[in-house]
Amino acid sequence: MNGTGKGFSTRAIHIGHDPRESQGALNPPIYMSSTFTFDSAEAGGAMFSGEQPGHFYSRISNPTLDVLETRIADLEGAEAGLGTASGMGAITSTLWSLVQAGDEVIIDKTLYGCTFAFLTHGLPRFGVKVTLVDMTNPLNLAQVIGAQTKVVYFETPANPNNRLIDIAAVSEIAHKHGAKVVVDNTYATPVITRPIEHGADIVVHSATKFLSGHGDVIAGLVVGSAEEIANIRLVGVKDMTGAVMSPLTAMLLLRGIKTLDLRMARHCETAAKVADALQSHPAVLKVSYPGLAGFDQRALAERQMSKFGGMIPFEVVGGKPGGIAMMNRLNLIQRAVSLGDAESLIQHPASMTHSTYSPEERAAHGIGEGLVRLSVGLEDAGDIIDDLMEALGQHNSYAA
Amino acid sequence: MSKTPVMGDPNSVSPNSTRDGWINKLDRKRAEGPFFDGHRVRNQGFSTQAVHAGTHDDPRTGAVGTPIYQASTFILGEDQYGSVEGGFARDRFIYSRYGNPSQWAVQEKLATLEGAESAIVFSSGMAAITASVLALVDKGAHVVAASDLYGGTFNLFNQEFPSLGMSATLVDSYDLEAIEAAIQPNTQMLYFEVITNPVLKVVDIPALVEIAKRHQIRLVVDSTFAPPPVMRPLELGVDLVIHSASKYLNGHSDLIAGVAAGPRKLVDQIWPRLLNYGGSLDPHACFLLERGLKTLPIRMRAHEESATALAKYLETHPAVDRVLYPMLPSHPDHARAKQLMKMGTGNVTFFVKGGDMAALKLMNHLRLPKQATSLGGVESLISLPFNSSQATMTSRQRAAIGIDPGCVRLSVGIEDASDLIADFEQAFTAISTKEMTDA
Amino acid sequence: MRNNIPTAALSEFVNEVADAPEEGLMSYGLELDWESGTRSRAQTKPMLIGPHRVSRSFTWKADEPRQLMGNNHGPNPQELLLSGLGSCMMVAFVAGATAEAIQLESVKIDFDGTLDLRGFMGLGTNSTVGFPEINYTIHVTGDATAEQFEDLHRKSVAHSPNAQTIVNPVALTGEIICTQIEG
Repeated sequence: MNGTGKGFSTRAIHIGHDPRESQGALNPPIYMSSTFTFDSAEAGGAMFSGEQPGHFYSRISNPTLDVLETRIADLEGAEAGLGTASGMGAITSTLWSLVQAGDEVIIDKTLYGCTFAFLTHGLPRFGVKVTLVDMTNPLNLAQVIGAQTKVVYFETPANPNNRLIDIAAVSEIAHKHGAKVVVDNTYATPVITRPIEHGADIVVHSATKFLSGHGDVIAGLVVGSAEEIANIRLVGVKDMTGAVMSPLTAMLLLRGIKTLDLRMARHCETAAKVADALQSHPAVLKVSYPGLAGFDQRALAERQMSKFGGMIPFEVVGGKPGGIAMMNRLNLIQRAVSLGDAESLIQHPASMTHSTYSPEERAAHGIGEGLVRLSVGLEDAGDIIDDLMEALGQHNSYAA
Repeated sequence: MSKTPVMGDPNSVSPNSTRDGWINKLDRKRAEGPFFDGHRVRNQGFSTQAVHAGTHDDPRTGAVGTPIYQASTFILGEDQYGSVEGGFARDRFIYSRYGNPSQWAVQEKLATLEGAESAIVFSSGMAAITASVLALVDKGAHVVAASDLYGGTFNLFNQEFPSLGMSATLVDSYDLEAIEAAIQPNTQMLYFEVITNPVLKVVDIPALVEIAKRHQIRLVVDSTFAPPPVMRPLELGVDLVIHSASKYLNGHSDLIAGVAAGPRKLVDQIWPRLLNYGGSLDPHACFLLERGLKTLPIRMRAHEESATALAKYLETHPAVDRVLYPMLPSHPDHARAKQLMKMGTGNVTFFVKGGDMAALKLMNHLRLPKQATSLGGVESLISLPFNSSQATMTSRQRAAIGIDPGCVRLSVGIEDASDLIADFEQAFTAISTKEMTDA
Repeated sequence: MRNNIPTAALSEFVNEVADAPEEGLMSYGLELDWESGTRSRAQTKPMLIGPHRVSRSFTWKADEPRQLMGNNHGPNPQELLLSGLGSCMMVAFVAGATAEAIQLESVKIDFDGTLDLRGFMGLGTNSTVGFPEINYTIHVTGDATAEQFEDLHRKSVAHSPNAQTIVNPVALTGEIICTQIEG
């Protein structure tokens, strides 16, 4: 199907697969095959040299992944896509392909914990300079960016505190200095924000989250220009990380993405109600949800996001013990890391996803010790709110 | 649009209509299948067949092995509509309950391994059995079957048959005279298991073939305990062979599946029953089954090797009263086993001195074999008929079918025989020490 | 499936019998028991389809109308004869239509026959005992031309076993086994 002019869900369901190529099967087959035969030795050689397209080994490409890669590229408005074994696989494969010793990467100061660890502890060991900047004010970037800056990297909304970065403003500064902009779009998904349309060069995803949506796979995706993606495929994934996605995972992701649009609508609708309810509870100190009128970066949220996501970071009275005590009183909402699933999940970043930061770093990066991170699931809004209110109600008396 | 290739069996074509003649002008002949186009692996060795038969490299991408066609339905074109109209919808892809490329691949492999023209995979062994039996009997029919059938099959004949206005007579599978005497004018089928459970009788299949032919009735066998490298019942003259593919055929205890294989004529009669009863096998299970079958020959060799060593060990152990393993001379059917079985399997049944309580103690002291029903997996499984498969029987009823006190049913996996023997040694020691301590 | 007949299977069976004629031999049997008066009960016996036995568990009753000394409990033998003739012609007609890819919507065969019971009664006459003539009309709706249907009609009668049994002399051989009882 040609997706031009078609809606998001239509493309999420149809792009990239022609049943006539696969015995008429409505859904693409799962090519659980490590290797591929060549019609002749010469044809194999031509594929290896890149003169002839085709699959020859599933660490490099696979027909089931092809469908997924074409589909996510279309949904993100990019030329090409690449599946990886995990979100971290997507991030590291991308960065290993873009930088070398002596280069600089500038990162926003609030990032997912393992991304932060890779960038601040991992890459510098190989002679890459990593500079932290508060990109909520793009002028901070303009002050430090230089000729050796190859990549500007950030998340928006950022994990765990929903800080937003102005993609267009940051991209303009980065491009002026010849740097590539890499955005982790895990939180927003292409339903809410398509960073490439705002000027970003490469988008990475932990597809484990909203894209899959069912908590049943670990996966990553990268999209960008055909040239960049070929480079990440043939250098980052093929030779450096080997972070290859299984075809079975690709099939489950394709399946999840078909309902992405309607799941995101529900996540966002429920999250707005939950954020409202939380905000009005006396035991809640602060709710950082971009859909709330009082959100710090409300104007940017309205400019850059079509909806406001399913993630709600909030702080309760009593600091870390208060947050943890409240979490332990929840019945419906599951205590677990990860996010974007049908099940509502809650976790405590300071001791879990962002424990890779030192307490000082957390303080400096806006990750409060009492902050809890709620991923609003697809359950009925009333049930989620009841669960929170019950835990907070008791909390109120406990705190008093 | 360019002409699309046939999505299905390209050798299956519509019968030409006969505008100027009678039905004798219809030109479609019955053929084996339905199979994909391409190489047939028919006359090569068994291991080659296990690896390659039915497994077709994807023509579009060159992918080695069969893709998993995780699709419920297929795009319809003129050719598919024509197949429905012409009555050969089994040979095209239309809807996954009718047929799916992942099913076809494993069906071709199973048909090849059994030496059959055609095969159908089902969602369980019982789905295969009910669809097959009910396809081959008619209103008011009678079946003669073995008296020690697997419980699920027994229930089909005992519980379902009378509701359908059919009847079955169950006879000792050793007693050929009784089998023949049970045949009535409306008898349409003999139904037997080639090796019985749990006492591992090796049934005289050639004699049953002869009886069935003489009475012009069908012989259907369940060959779950003797998968293709061990026995190929179709070559012995059986009309249809059925398996619980959950056992040796898959071999990894990770799925439930069944298969019926035989002449295309009969399997085509079973196919509409599959459609009506709905027991089709999902594409992912097909993939796993196809994968499991690739190691069937080497797994069976390992089962046999470990089972033989363990059976010999048990036979010499003072705490063991008797061992039943068809490939050992001590088995009452040893001569027939040598004649009908190309090799042994992993099934060993033995009797512990001291009866069922002693067997229970022994089982509880074993660390390697898992206490579980089923069989034919890579891991050894152990169970006692008295409290599991034959728990509803009295001890007298059990004795009547050869299940004497102390009976242990063992499915030897592919673990090292020395480890299994060492485990049994420590378990026997533990129970004898315990007895002494108790005393 | 056309007209609910699987053409492929029909074709495969025809070709199978061409190669192995024994597969085309059908053996039928029927048992009749006198019940009371003019009423009898018919029961099918297991049938042989080629070399394989098939259960046939069907029974029905025949009787005469009261006017003919019966109790009118079922169709009478003449009606059953016409039924056997007509249903056989119907199978041939529909199978033939299917083979010719003719889609049928409806087929009705309307039978009439008159016989003179004086033959049965043994009253001297020149008329035959049985039907001197059987008349039928086929009403058919389908996608063929009148010419094609007429051709199909001719072929289906020519290939109908029961029609051919009726129009050709058939050897009727029988015996009787007697048991005399004390009156």
